[in-house]
This record gives sequence, C-alpha cells and structure tokens, in this order.
Amino acid sequence: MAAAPHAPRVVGMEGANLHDEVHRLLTLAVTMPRRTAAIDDALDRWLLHPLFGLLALGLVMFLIFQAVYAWATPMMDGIEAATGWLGANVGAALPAGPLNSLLVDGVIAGVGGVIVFLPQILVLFAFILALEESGYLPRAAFLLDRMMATAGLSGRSFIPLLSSFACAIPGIMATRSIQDPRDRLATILVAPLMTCSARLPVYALLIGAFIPARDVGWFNLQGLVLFALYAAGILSALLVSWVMKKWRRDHSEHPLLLELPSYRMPQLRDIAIGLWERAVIFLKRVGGIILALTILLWFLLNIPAGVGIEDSLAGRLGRALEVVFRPLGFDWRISIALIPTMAAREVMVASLATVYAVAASSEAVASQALSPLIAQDWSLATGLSLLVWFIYAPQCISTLATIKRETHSWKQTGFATLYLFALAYLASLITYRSAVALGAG
Amino acid sequence: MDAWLLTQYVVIGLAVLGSVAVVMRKQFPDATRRLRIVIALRLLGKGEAPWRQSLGRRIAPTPRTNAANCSGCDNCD
Repeated sequence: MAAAPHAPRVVGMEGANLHDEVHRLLTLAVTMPRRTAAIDDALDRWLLHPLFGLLALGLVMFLIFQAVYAWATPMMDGIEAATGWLGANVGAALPAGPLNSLLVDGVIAGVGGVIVFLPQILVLFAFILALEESGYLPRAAFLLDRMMATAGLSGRSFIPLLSSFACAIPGIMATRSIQDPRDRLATILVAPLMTCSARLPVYALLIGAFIPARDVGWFNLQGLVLFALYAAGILSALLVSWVMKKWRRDHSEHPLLLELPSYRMPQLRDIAIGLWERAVIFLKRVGGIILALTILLWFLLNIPAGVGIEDSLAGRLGRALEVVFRPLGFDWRISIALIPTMAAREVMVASLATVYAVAASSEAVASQALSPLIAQDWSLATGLSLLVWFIYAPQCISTLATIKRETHSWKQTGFATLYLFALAYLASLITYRSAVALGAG
Repeated sequence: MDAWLLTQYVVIGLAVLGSVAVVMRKQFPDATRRLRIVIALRLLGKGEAPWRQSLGRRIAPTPRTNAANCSGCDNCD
C-alpha cells in the first residue's frame, strides 16, 4: 500500500507554523510578478476611492457636457448655414406650388432641423468611446454599485443602463445578462429614463432657444443645463427603482463580481470607427423614419387643400389634443409634433420645423432657424415644461415593443408606458405651474 | 389642371405612399409582414396573370432568418 501523498514531512511543525515557514521560504526563494500594473494601482487608488472616485466621475461627466456645447457649435453653425442655403436655392429654383412647399417646408426644414445636431451627438459619443477604450467604464460600474444597490439595482445593471444612453433598445436587450429576474425587470423598467441620444436634438433645440449662451464662472450655462437634464434622468431612474424596491417583498441584494481591465490609451482608429457607426445610424434614421414622418406630417398639414394650417387635418388633431396638454403649457402646434414623435424622439425637432415652416406667413420667416422662432413664440415656462416632458415620456414605440419582447408581458409593458407618461405629465405640470408662478409664463 | 400641377401631385402621392410604407415597416414590422403575405398569396394564386404573379413575388417578404438578433434603433427588419 502506497503512503498518503500529502502526509506532513516536517516533523514537529503543524498548522499556522507550517504555513508561516512556507511563506518565509517562498519570500526568500521566489520573486512573484505583480498581478497588476503599477500605474493601474496608482490610478485606482484615486479613481476607485469612495469619495474622490465619485467626484472624479462627476467631473468627467460634467466636462463631457461642457464640451458637447463648446466644441460642436462651429460645425452646427456650418450645417445650419448649408441647410438654409439649400432651402433658399431649392425654393428659388422650383416654381411656387405644392412640390416646392413639400421640399422646402417639409423635407429641408424638417430633416435639416434634425441633422444639425449630428456634431453634438458625435462629440458626446467620442467621449463615451474614449472612456470605454480607456478601461474606465467598469470602474464607474464598481463605484456606482453601492449607490445602485441602495436604489434596488445591482451593479450588473450598470452596463445595460449605460447602453441606454445611446438607445434604450440595446440597453433593454443587454439586461439578458442579469440572471436575477427581479433585478432584470427593475433595470428594464428604468432603462427608458436614461437620456438616449435621440433626446439630444430636442434638448439642444430647447436649450438653444431658452437658455442664454453665457458663462457662469468657468462654465457654459447651456452645458450646465444639459448636464442637469442627464443627471435628472439618472436620479429619476434611481428613485423609481428605489420605490419599486420598497414595494417588493424580497429585499435581498446580489453582490457584483467584476474584473477590472488595465487602463490603456484609447486608440484613435477605434474611436473613429465607433463614431462612423454612430453617424451612419443617425443618418439612416434621418433618411428613413424621420424623413418619412416629416413628409406625412407635411401632407396632413396641407389637406384639405386651400385651408389654413389650423383647419388642416393635423391642425384639427392638434387642437383636439391641446385640451389634454394645455395644462402643461403646450399649444396645438406642440401637441401635433408630439404624435409623430412616438416613432422617434428626434422627430419632434423635424415636426416643429415643418409646422412652423408651413404656418409661416412669409418665405423669410419660413427659412429662419427653428430655435429663434420658438424662442419668440413660447414662454420660458412652456420651454422648461417640454424639456421636463422629454426626460420622462416614453416617446418611442420601438422601446415599448422591446419591453414587451423581453418581458413577454403586456402587463409590464402597460405598467412601463403608464408610469412613464404619468411621471412626464406630473413633472411637466409642476414645472410649468412653478415657472408661471415665478413669472416665467 | 395643367400637366405641371398634375406631375407635382403624382410625385407628392408617391412620396406619401412611400412614407407610409417606411413608417409601417419600421413601427409595425409584424403587421406589415402579415399584410404583405396576404397580398402576395392573392397575387400568386393559380390562373393569375404573369404580371400579377411577378408583382406577388416582389411583394412577398423574405423568410425570417435571424430576426431575434436585430437590435438597436435602426431595426433591421
């Protein structure tokens, strides 16, 4: 019979003493390689610090939104000028008539009004891609895990919620990686509150119209407001999931296990490819669903032929909806624009541009940029109310369809739709009434 | 009605029809697919004229292969 293979060979040395002796010998004889790079440890000491890490994350996000305004403006001015030039030339080249109106007031005003926000979307995604490449994003998940657990979400929710900043649909689909059904449902229900890139054109339009482009200390006021809107979306998501956590019986939390990659310099080529993909997605939407809805809205604004815009089919529909939205400060034109916006949020900008271009009494007014037009026409209270509406409203049928597909439940889909609309209505109402009470009406 | 005005209305009509098709396909893909199948089956019935059969084949949707993987705001359906 063979001897036991792990029988102690050091006589008189057992337990802790034996381990200490082994450690001592290993220290003398073996030089262990570092498990992590020195630079990673140095950076993580600060970036994963419970206080400084969160401050650094807040600062990074804050600077991104400042840059979105500071860097994109020259490109946006260029696109706006090109759109105006195209509209004026097409208008002059074609004889007056319905086709001229369709192209100038519908297609060019509507689509041009949306495409102007491409630079801001690209600047925002350049930063997100750079952070992703650098290895910082998993650290952000680690930093936010405790906060998310308090709110009833797990650290695993971070990546789906982060994806929702691009579009809620891949974000909701990414929740498949969350094994716990309770955590998964909570993440699906709050994902639409993350500020998707489709909201950016609407925010940019309204901020450009109602928030003065001046500096507050070192910071751009418009960038500050944009940051506040993104923060409002995140905080609302945490608040909603916290309320859901209070409602459910199971209060257990699921720990996050995460491997942190090494820090690395973002590669310019990778970022360029990512930006190209984002630009193609955006332009495909502009040339597809946004263009189609703009044409349909122009059509509904022009039938029956020979009547004013208020008596058109869309005008009558807008006035019927105005009854519901009047308490929020939305007039019939905003109410019309909210309908096609159910297909995609950016359509709001195209719809408003088309409505104002068709309604314009003169060609000079029709060819104006949309931002100064709504600044003249709406009160500050209405502008703020609409901004708040877009933080919450589930203005995207595709997102609701994805919730249905992922939850396999009409009940959950109906709940998501109802609670988001109710939140949007209530928050807009409070904003509008408060602004009016403060003299901004 | 002069020829130029008629041309304008035809172009606008086609643009509106195309837009309806795009919106239906993007927002209601399953309903659009079912509708295309119903129309295609009618056009491909026995004894139908060759041009109707050819139109039916054009209208018939392509078989679904990996639709579950389509994601993102640019639905690939």
